Amino acid sequence: METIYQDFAPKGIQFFYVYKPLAHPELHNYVRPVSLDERLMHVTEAKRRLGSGITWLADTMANDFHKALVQFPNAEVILDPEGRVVMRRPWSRPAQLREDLAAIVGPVESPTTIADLDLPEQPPLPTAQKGVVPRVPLPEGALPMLVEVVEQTSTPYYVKLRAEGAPELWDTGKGEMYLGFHLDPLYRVHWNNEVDPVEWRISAPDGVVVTPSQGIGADPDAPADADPREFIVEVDGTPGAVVDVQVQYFACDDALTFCIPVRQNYQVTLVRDTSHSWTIRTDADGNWGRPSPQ
Amino acid sequence: MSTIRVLFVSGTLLAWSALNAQRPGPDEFVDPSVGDGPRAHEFWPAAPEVGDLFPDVNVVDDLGNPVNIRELAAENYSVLVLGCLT
Repeated sequence: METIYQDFAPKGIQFFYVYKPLAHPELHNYVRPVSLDERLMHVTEAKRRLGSGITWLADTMANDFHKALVQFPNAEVILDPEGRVVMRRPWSRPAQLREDLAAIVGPVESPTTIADLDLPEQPPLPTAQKGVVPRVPLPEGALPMLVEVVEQTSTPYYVKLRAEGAPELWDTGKGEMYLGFHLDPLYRVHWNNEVDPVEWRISAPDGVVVTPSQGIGADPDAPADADPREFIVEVDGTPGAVVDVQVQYFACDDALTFCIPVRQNYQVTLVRDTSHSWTIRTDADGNWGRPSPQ
Repeated sequence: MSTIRVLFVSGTLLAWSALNAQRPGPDEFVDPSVGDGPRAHEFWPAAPEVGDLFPDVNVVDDLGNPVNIRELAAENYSVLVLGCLT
């Protein structure tokens, strides 16, 4: 994309990246932003890592752009100056895009190659030690479910809840549900294991039973780590039911400037969150992978 | 017990697959829009076709200021690509 930008921007073509919901939450430890400010933090991080000259925009938190177009993570469109769609593609194809643009403004005599560019591909943000707390396997076929913060607070959501379930859970309201409390690497925080571990509690409406309904995170010997605190609960409820999750933990930054108690609340709805695809875990060595559960 | 298989693929950044579809990945990450498979053309049903006006939606710039897509495109031909960190 960058080579196309280099070749066609001088011909007047405008290029924009539109930041959207995470395709694969947890890849390289990135977790879902819960506010527009946090989404803009993701944009800043994307700029840092990619080093592109292309202008970044961000979709609204209602994902208006994404919902207007396609479910794929890297769709592309060309609009004419009247705002009409000249080309749309569900999956970006740079070679074809180059041909599309050449048809509009003429070919480029000496196309830029990737080797011509000196793009600083930066690594993901460092975290505290990982591999300290064993990971909890996801239920078979699990995908992210709808999780919303109850309120925007002045205290950031240093730890983000992700809930996942298999289609059985969305369809019947019954089955295993994964609850994972993940540090947000953009806040440069860690689990301080010398203070009380994370605690959570679920409140369910009448007709919905969650077992267990509360839990306490691991308390390993290592003084600090960045592993998620994960749990599997059994849900016996109804499709679309909403449960409240309250979590309390100590947010402690890597620079050791603060370590504060935080209590935050989420609502988990027993439906799939279609703005994300499957999660991809990143291990202690930065390796990642997980095939599609579909 | 989950049968999750974990693939370890050293040195590759899937993050940029969202922004650079030229980079091949493991089989599980092959472009699902290729060929005649069921996911080949999964635009949302209401998505604009070629020739249609793009929906009148707003996004924001990197400072959080609202930006209207049609107004943005009014300057010249515009390429818009969805992307994210993962």
